Amino acid sequence: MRALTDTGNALEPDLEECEYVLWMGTFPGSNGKSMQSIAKQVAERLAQGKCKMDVIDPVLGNGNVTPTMEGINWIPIKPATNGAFCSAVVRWMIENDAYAADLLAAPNYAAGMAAGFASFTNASHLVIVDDANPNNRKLMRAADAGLETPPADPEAKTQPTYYVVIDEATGQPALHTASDRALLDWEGEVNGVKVRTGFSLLREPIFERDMDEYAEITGVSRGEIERIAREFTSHGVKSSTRAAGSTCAQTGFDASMGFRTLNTMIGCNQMIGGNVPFGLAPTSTGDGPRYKLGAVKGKPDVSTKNATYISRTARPWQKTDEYAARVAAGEKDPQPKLPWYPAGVASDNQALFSVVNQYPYQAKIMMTWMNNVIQNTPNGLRAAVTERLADPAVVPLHIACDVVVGELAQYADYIVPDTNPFESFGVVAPQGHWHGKGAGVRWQAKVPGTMELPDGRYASFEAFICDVGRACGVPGFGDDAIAGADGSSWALDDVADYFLKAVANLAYAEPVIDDISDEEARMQGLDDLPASWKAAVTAEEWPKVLKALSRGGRFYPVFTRVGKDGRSGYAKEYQSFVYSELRATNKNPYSGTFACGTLGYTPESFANWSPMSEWYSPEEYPFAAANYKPRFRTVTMEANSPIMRDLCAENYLEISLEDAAALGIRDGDRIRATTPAGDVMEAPAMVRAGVAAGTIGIAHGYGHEAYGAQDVDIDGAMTKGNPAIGSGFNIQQVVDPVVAKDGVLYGAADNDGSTPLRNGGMFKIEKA
Amino acid sequence: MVWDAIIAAYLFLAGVGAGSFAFAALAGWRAPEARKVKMAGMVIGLVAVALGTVMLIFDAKAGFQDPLKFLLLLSNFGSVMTWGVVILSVFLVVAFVEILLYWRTGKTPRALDWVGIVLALCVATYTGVLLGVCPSYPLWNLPLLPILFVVSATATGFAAAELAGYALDRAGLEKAELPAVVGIALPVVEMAVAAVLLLVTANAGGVSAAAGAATVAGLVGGAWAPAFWGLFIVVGLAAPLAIALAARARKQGASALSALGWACVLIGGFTLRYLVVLAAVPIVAY
Amino acid sequence: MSDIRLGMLIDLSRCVGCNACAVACKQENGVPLGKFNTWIESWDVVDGSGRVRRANLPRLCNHCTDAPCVDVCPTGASFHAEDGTVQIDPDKCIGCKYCMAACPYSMRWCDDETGIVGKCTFCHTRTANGMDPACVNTCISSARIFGDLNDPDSEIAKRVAAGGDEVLLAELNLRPHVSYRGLEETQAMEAASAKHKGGNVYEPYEGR
Repeated sequence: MRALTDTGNALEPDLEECEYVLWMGTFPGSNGKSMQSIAKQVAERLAQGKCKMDVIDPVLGNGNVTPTMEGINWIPIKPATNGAFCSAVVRWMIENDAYAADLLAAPNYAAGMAAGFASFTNASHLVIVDDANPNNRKLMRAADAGLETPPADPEAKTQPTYYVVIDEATGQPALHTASDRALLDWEGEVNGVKVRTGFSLLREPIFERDMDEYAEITGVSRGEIERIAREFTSHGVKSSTRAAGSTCAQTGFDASMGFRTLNTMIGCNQMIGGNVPFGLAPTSTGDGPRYKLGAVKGKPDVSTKNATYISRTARPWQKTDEYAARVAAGEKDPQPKLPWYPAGVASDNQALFSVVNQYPYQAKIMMTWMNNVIQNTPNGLRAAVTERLADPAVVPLHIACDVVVGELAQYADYIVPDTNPFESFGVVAPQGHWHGKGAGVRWQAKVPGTMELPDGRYASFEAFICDVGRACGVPGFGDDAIAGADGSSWALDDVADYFLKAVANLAYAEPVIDDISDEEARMQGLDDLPASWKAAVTAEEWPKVLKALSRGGRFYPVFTRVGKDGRSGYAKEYQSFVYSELRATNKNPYSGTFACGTLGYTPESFANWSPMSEWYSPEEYPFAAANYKPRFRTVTMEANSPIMRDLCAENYLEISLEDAAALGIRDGDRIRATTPAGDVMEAPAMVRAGVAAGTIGIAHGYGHEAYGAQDVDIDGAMTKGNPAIGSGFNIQQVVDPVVAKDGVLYGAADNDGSTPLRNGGMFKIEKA
Repeated sequence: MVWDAIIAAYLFLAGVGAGSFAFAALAGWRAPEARKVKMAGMVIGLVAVALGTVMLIFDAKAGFQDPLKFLLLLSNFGSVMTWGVVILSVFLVVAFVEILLYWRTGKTPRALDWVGIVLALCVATYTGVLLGVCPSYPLWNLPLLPILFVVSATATGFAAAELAGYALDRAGLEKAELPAVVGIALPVVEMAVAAVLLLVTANAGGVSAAAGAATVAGLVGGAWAPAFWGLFIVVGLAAPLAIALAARARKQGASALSALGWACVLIGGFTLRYLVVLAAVPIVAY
Repeated sequence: MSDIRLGMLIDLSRCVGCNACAVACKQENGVPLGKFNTWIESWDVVDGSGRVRRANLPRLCNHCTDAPCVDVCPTGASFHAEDGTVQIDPDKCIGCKYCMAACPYSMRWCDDETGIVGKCTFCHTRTANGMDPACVNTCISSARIFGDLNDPDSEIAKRVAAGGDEVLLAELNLRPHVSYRGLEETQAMEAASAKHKGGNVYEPYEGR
């Protein structure tokens, strides 16, 4: 989705120095990423009165919104309407001149920096608005405007793209790189082409509705929206917003674009106290200072340019071979069997639908690792999907590798035992809202419980692919698989061969770390590690590798996060898109229409952008789901933990007091939520004030059919299942009727991000 | 619920044993010739209390699995249960000695009878105080619950002894039988005490208010109502009262109907203990 | 009796109901499945201004000075330790469950296998060695403060003195040594959902 919205560092609200944070679809202390570390930061600063927060979410989670904590509120919102909420806030900001005009008028990073910020936007960049122009809806390039560009740099790997702005000082078109300040709200003709600025295009959808309409759509009162808008804009750049779960909706683009546009409008990106870089780590598993783990000699030239993800992402339909072939065969405006998502990344949910529909190609051999896409795909149709997965004619060979036999792995022809997190390696960038730089290292804390192989290794995914790679002569495996920075070459046969080299890269990132002392190595038991580990790196590297292992990774001094003049110490060129060219130019193959390039509000729709409410009656199906992250499960895991089951045995259909009263439902009654396609969820009702009206709150992670709930027979050895693992229910979201017909199985999804919707949808509720 | 039917049975049997022993002592004084009636009453007293004690030991699983631990039972004389251990032990010894003497010599010393009666009263009272000192259950009201249990112990113990007497020596029972008014008074008094207990519980104040109200609501109109009204009030109190009144009106001695009434008393007595243990709602700490 | 009086203060504004304490406790103390030494009760409330908030109330043994469980224990298995805490000697416990019936906070449980009663010990093995209880150590938002109430310089003593002296069932006057901050304010708010122990409903919502 980020391809649609911005380029540069990944950013998160700065919980260390913020004055205000607006959380949408993520909930400090409840369902954000690393909810406990977020809760810790938030609780401390709220208690000290150093910041204020609002939480906009359809469901009130356990978290920092406690009865006696000052400065934080929960505001219920209808699911999948975050785009409308953000549009309302932007409208208020424009009407009240409460936005960082200096930043929005800065056409390039240097200009943004000069204006006191650490980012820039394309708000002032010109967009072609001329149906007759072949580049219609695209950002105007230098060539469109007849402007000359600087000579290409022969040294550079990629050449910059030059966009066009109206320079404020001259009033004339200029390259975006050549202007210090550009006109923000402008439309006119350049070189005979009709153009408008991104900002001027933003105004259009935003002002399509007034504040009362936004209040009606979101269920958030006008007064509340205005209060939040005022608060959000009252702290300079020490304010920010973040949306997470709310982006898992059919309107996910609106939610994503919404929070990014809000942050852009106040200029808080990469500013201390605002929206700051996170997850920054030195190169370890890439081409690092000691080993070239990213480069594989003889690697086939396969990329998204010449190959196609089975998930139909990273490529528009119109650029597929199939499209070209069908057009060549005389078909006019052919429509694909399943949608394509040029802005989407490799998606297991979409891959699942591709596999069961054998489109765009059949998965003749499917290898899945640590994956349970059946459980993590929220759409209905689960029974039909699994039936096809189990059919050898659809998937001739499926090899799964996992520590448990989950909903997906149970249909595999072969299951390769894997190691669990205590038995495996990993190098991980910082998660949550810790804004330092570094990387954590996970290494085997115990001998794997998997089978020992004849050569002394233990069964694991890594051992498996190393052996298969070697046997098949795949580049990057076997002897001479890994190149040292010094020109040496190394074999890759097991997990330590790879990850300890990554740790060496980490240890040798500047400044190179010290050796571990013999005494400390002895105290920590690091003098007793397997010989194969020591052999995976050089004798010179080994004491530094041990030092990194002894510290659980490598972490830079946290003060480095703070740079000069209120900027992040890790700031680098960052652009947020007020106008998303990628989205605006993505022609929908089913309707031939284009979506809006800026923030706006589009009601939930199906694959051809027809609103759901035109297919199904909102009177009959008045409820929308909010599928939230609970404390006691993850999407697919934790149900096998006896303590987690002890803490919470099942999930509920959570509905508001008003809805319960209207339907005559009492707390604890068994009720049923049904989608228009007839998929049913049945569970006890939880009647509570902490759910927005018209919403069904559903904790995900429950309702397993496998994952230990089922009996497993492996080569005649029967392991009895524990039905308690399967308690509760898994969400069943709406099916897309535009695509799911004539035997095609397809759940509704975000037309931009490809994400199947967890939030939103249409349901009716009745007593069971 | 912390305790279950085993503890209810123990409370019931202790009451039956205490009441039965007292009946036997009184019967011996009234009609020395009704030997079987007295012996039966004393044996029921001993066996019922002993059986109840065994159930208590059985319920104390950690002790049952490691019986030497029961030697520790005299460690804390602040504990009502420790008093109970003493009371039950002394009662069992006295009852055993009384039976032995009666069996060997044909009579028991009046003073020892008195000791036994006082101990029986202590046993019955103790079963109520045991619960009454717990602040967690509004139903377990300190002055009222022991009174109710003493009345019920008297009724059930008398009924058990009378049933045995009726079976073994109907003529002896006729002579030893207490005045008819006792059979009428006991259910009336028990009903009154129970009513007061429920009223007090329902109107408990402060932290006990919600639990007290919930307890009474559960008994009179909730999940426990069938047992409360059917088995405790109708079978256990109203039916024996009606039978006693009818017997008195007809100036009739012990009859099959009387036996039925005594059986009803026993059913009501167990139901009372069962409800007190299981239907009591604990106070909640918020 | 020594001069130490261990106690815990829980700031309810800080508790986010993550239940990490309940998990840490189970792992530290090997508490059997289905039983808890500490847990969190959670429910929705409506505050004075009509906003809905989520209340989280951590529960554990209150280590009362006037402890009914100690009073009723016939074997002396339940006792006050030197540090003022209420402890159970499993070698003395016969499993009569009288203490469980007597505890007005319902904080004790009986092991189905052994019949021995258990409860929060303030992680006696840890605190006896100068460490904090596992729940305190793991509490991500520092909602739980632990220390010696008799030491006027301790953080807990200062914070108790500064308004952290609200206790559950104060009316019973058992002088518990677990206190809360924000308890009365939280309890005064209208409850608007079922009450949960962890994530399990234990008291359904009866409606308004």
